[in-house]
Amino acid sequence: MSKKFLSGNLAGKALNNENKLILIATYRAFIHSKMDIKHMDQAKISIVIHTSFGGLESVEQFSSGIKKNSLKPNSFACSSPSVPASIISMCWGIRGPSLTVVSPRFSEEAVLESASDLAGIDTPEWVICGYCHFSTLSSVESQNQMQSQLPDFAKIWITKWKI
Amino acid sequence: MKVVITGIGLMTAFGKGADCFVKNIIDQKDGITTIERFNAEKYRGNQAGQVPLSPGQAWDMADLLEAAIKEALTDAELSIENDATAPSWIVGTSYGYLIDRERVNRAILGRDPAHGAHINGQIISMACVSSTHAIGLAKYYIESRKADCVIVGGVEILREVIHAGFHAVRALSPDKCCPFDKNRKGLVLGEGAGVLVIESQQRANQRKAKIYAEIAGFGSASDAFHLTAAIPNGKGLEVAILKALTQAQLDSKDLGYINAHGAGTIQGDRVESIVFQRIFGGTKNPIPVSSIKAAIGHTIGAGGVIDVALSGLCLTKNFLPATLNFKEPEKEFSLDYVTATREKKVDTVLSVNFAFGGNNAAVVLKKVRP
Repeated sequence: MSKKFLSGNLAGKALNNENKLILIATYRAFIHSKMDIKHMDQAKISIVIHTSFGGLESVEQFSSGIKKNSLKPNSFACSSPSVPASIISMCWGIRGPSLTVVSPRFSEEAVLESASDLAGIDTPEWVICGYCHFSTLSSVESQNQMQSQLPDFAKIWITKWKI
Repeated sequence: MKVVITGIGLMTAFGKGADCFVKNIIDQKDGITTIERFNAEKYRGNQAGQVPLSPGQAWDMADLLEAAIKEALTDAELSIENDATAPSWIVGTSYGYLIDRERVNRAILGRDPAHGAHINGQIISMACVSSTHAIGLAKYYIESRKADCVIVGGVEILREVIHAGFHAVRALSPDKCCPFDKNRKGLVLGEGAGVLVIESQQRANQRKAKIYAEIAGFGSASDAFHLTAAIPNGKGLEVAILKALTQAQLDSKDLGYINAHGAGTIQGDRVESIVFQRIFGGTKNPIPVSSIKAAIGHTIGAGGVIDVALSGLCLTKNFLPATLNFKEPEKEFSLDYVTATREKKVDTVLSVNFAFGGNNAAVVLKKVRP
């Protein structure tokens, strides 16, 4: 992945594995779509992400820092499930609304339904859609077998909403 | 189609219920106490707005949410006869995977759902705008007839990981929280739950429900700037507010009151004042602005619904709440900061929230005349 996407406030060291994977998936989606985002109205692009335990990896890292008396602000900053949508927004300058839904199930239909909801409250021309799942110590140890058996993944696609 | 609020349920640092909440807000009390749930002495601040507990009692998120749901349903006089007519629900909270969906369903139905019954519920996790966004979605659900009635909730519980997190990013105040004051030092966290019953005005009139307010406008936008800091020029917040005003068909000069995010952080409050001054400044009669974060703490994901509930109560009970601990504004701002409870009738309220990750959201409420 090009270094230019991890510069400034998004220095690689500030991101957890989950967010790096999200950025790579989004980067590939942009390449695949052949979109020239620099010449688009970034306020007319929205983001919809479905996640299961988004940010929990960072919560666990930060919690362990409390015990060790070594608090890392970056871990806390990355702990919200909405961070994947936020870093996509920061990285590509997207200023339309974003929506993060916590869902135990993943399907393209569910994400597109959320995108449709978002299009109902705003008027995006494009919607960056996706879902992601990341195993964490908690999810593996939990009794939620469906979650723990899933591999880590991030899927991002770009939908032209206003035709 | 007009979308209205017909029920309110609140669990805050003042205790259970909207009546108790309003009385304490009008009396300019605060519910901020020393944290006893974990050792907070090692952090920059050791106080928070905690929901009062009886001896031996322990709240979890579902308890708070359940209590607020029950109050809101009773307040709305909403009877759910069977699972097929159960309202949809949308809950906003900062860590959505901690919400027990089954308990939300049970709290709404008053029993376990029938085998195979599907109740449409979803969880929004967008830090401090989680439940504000839930309101925007609920408005759309009603307008698009995707649902007849939506239960919108926000919930947050005080946990050491969150308190330590705000300490780590240097956002906690070592003293009292004093939003918009020139000597403010940061925020004080809070916990609680807020629930709104939202439906169309037509449906509310048909069942002769009381109406708190119309949700006339919603807007949201992103800063695309930083994970924890708001963009200094406040452009994202400004866009969100203008979208909400446009949707509500409301001219900025006709707004009655601004229920600000006003968390008490040095940068956040400044950005908010810049935006308010840019949109609403320069008028003969400045628009009153206040924040209740010094009274109940910053309830993060629950804050949006609690703020909008307060805004609806302001419209029906004809008062504007004070910003506690506010003494002096920053020099360059000439806003009408409310420093003591005002008895005042207003017809419109703007409620705004913004969050980590550059998320901004705004809601416009209008008074509904019988």
